Amino acid sequence: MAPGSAKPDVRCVRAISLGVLSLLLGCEAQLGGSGATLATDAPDGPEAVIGPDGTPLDPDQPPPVVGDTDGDGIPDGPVECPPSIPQDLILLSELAFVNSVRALVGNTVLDGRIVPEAETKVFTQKGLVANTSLVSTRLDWAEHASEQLEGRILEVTGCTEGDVACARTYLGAFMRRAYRRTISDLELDDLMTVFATGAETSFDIGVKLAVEAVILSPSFNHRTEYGTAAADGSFRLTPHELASSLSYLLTDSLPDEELADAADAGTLADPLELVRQLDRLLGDESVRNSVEKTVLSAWNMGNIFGKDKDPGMYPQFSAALASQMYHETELFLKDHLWDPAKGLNSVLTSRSTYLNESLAAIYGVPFTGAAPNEFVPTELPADQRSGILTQASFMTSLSRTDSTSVVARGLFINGPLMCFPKVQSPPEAAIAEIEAQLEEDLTERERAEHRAATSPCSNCHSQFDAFGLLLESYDAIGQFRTAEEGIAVDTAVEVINKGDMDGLYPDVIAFAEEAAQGAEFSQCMTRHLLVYATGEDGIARQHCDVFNATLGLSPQATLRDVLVRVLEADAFSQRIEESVP
Amino acid sequence: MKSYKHSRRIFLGTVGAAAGLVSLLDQLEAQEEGAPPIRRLLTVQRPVGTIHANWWPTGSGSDLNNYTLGRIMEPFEPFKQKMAIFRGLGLPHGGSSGGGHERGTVLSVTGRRAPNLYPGNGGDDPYAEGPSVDQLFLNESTILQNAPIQSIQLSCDRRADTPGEVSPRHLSYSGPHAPMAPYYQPLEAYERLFGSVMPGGDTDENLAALAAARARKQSVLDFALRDLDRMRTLAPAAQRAKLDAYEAAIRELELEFDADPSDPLSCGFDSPPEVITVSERVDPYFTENVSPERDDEKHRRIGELHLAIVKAAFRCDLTRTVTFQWSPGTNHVSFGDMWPPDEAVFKVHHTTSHNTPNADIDEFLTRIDHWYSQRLATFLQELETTEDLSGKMILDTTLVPYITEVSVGHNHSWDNMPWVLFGGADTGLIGGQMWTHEGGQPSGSTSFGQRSTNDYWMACAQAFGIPDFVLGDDEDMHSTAIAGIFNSV
Repeated sequence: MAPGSAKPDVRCVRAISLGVLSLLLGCEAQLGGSGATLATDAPDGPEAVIGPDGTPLDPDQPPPVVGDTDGDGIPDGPVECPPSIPQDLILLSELAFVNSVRALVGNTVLDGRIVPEAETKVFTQKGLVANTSLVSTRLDWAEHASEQLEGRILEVTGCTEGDVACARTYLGAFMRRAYRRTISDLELDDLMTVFATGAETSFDIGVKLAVEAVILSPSFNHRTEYGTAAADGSFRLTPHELASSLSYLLTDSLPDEELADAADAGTLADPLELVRQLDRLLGDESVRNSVEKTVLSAWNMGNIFGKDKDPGMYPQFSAALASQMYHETELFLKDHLWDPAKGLNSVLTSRSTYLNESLAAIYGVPFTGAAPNEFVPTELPADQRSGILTQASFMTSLSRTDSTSVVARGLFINGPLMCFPKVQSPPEAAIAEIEAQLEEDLTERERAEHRAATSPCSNCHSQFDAFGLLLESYDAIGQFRTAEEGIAVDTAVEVINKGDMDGLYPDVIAFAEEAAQGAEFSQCMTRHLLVYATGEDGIARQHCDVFNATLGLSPQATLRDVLVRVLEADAFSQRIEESVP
Repeated sequence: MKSYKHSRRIFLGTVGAAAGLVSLLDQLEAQEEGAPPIRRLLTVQRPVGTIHANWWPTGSGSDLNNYTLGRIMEPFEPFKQKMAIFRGLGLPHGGSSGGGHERGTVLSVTGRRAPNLYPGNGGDDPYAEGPSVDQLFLNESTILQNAPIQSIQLSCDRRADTPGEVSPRHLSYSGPHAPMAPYYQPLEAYERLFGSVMPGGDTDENLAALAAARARKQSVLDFALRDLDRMRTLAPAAQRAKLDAYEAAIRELELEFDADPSDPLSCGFDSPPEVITVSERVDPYFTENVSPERDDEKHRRIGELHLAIVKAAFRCDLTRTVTFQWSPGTNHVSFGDMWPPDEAVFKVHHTTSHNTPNADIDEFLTRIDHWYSQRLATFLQELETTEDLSGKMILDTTLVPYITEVSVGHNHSWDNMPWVLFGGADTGLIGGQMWTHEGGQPSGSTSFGQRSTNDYWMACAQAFGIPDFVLGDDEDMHSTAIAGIFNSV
């Protein structure tokens, strides 16, 4: 199969184009909750697909694919994909809020504070709403930020005591930057009343109070994705909204001056300018670091920091080693995600990594560094390792304390890595069976075979257990093994119902090679970044916007190329009006 | 290290004066003039259900005096006349999604179906589809309102199975999908409630400084409100609820700043509590469930400090609505001295409950549930012997629902939920009661055929002057308030 051509759910895509969503079944899982019209209109019941003439199609026959002239079951070009993401008012995450405050008043604002860490940033902002505890915390930060101006008003504002006009100029610029848009005279007048209240005590307190007010304000704490009405009834994000979307996607912070100026000038409506800004920002290593952290967050890699291992079995494991594993993966991604000579998919296959002495021992390779904690370029054995799937960080994070976990590893490949349709958690009734299984003295393969032969376990586990079994060559901290307690490890599996990934694989190395030839991985990455940009975590890899965005994406595509496609996707910049119940 | 300064603390710190406990005095004057009396709601949750064989009292009839309390409830013996035990409560769980403890927590506190899941987290993290019962009571009951801080949420352990999980960590929701984050550090709760001690007395100069500081803070909050008004004119209709939520939060902060500063010392809390660093270890399932470190001592200390702060806040009437969570239902706290085969190992509560049941595990879970009973009984004793500044014993005016999110930890049963009520005379609770569902002894089946836990909450509403209160999004989620639990108050 040609890269960049993994199938969209054509029935879903076609149904969207035909406007028969309410009659379409089975699209919810693929399309997710990206819009009420996509996610909530599908009734329960057996699958049925309605043809263009309103009559049901034969469910045993695949429906014809619109725009598929070569008959490979894949549309040849972009599929019709009406906008589906509703207008939104997005509350800044804790990380985005703190980063934005820091951008406004400087790094000293972090002194003495507990600051949210990018390493453990939350990929989806679940449960984040404005309530008293959140607003109270943000008021606390606002006061702390204004305190940073204590004794530095002249230095920061350039205004001498009593120069109200100067204070107005400073506060206007501060407010514009904080709000990430132009501000009205009325808004600035309003802020100056706060200044005046403080200035009754002193000029300095006036400035500080106004700064505090801006940071607590809802305009600073939210970003909008309302857009302006377009002729087709959708809404196109304004240049300022585009600037914010781009900036928070890349940096979890507000636009820098140049991006804000481009928004002011209206040039961001030009897609080429948006890409130019993207490239400019990616020139900054800290921005690339931020995006790398987002990728790791999509893969739940922050979980490794809470991991614990049986000290009897893995005496070398410690919190420090977990951090080193994480760092190896950071360095590996930095080396592979952006390099056109390697391409994004090399993340699945490359053996070139960076190890310190402790990690070299885990991988069983010689350490060539001058000091134990030096991370040096290292080539891993080609018959044992293949990209991130075999890295110690992932294997450790996706294992239990004293053993591997076929289920956790399988779910990871099925979900965050490849974005195959979501698997439901086991029913309550199955808990006793699961417990009984885990009590048995069985290998992970034997457990998987039992699940495969047992209903209802097999219904779900058939979707991902094979992926986990591929990784049985790596123990609970990622050490390569050929046997477990004297029994040879068998990693051969047959992958089924995964489209172009179906087939027999002797081990994960063969699987990774195949995956690197396909489009699923880069589509999944595109999906993740589109979700992070829009906040719409219901978008699935099979969503038509993701399909269109990744059409023809080269196997050598880099993360930068994926980001370009994300910016070009309609889902990045188009919104619809959400109906109110 | 974070300063843990709370805005109100900074605010009062800028004034540098004490204005006294004027608010409580105002309240007392208001009561004399016919305003509603003070009453309080303290909802306490413990995790992982119970071991039924050791929970239920033995005896007959409805008079609790004719019963011998079960081993787990034995610490509550001194409170028999101020407690009601319920047998035959079922949590209506049909039509909802999520893991046993996750779903159970949401359903217990909201009484509404929770069919939708947050994406991710293995698909077991349900959204709450409405406000929690404590917030509903607060919104509807003038008896609970008028305190400077409308409500406080406290929790003693943050860990859940996955880092982003919402449902097991929250007992309070301000609305659909709107969890109210608890304070985990007692110091944070302390500073939220007490602001700062301000020695100096209410001199004219100090009062003028206080007035000026209030005016400054008010200008910041007013600016936010005006900004909200502007944003409303631009927001699509579907987004306005988010702005309403922001406004509600600002309004609540306004009340806090408007309140008179209270001196924690005079409320019975003499110094700020220490910061307690707790383990972040998340115990994996189906292993030995032994932790290298012991959590229960810190867990106990955090709980005691939180509760001491609650007592002081009740004493000075700083708040009347509190939810207190010992831990998420998927409790990752490890306990020492509890594992019968080897008391030197530190076994983890929730994960152990999912190992194949045997006598050791039952004993372990019994001991932990008893441990939680002991903590609450000790606190009830303090409430029973501590006067608030109006001269009443705090327990007299406080209703304490004691709940857990599942009935049996091992199989996540929601039949025969082991919930209890404590409360003094002024709450109207008819103590010394053993209430049993008239439908007969619960069968232990998985079907819902018992009295809804929502009916329990609807009965509690009588303590707060809202007898017509209904909880549940549909008729099959509730029937009527359980009768005979409260005197008319």
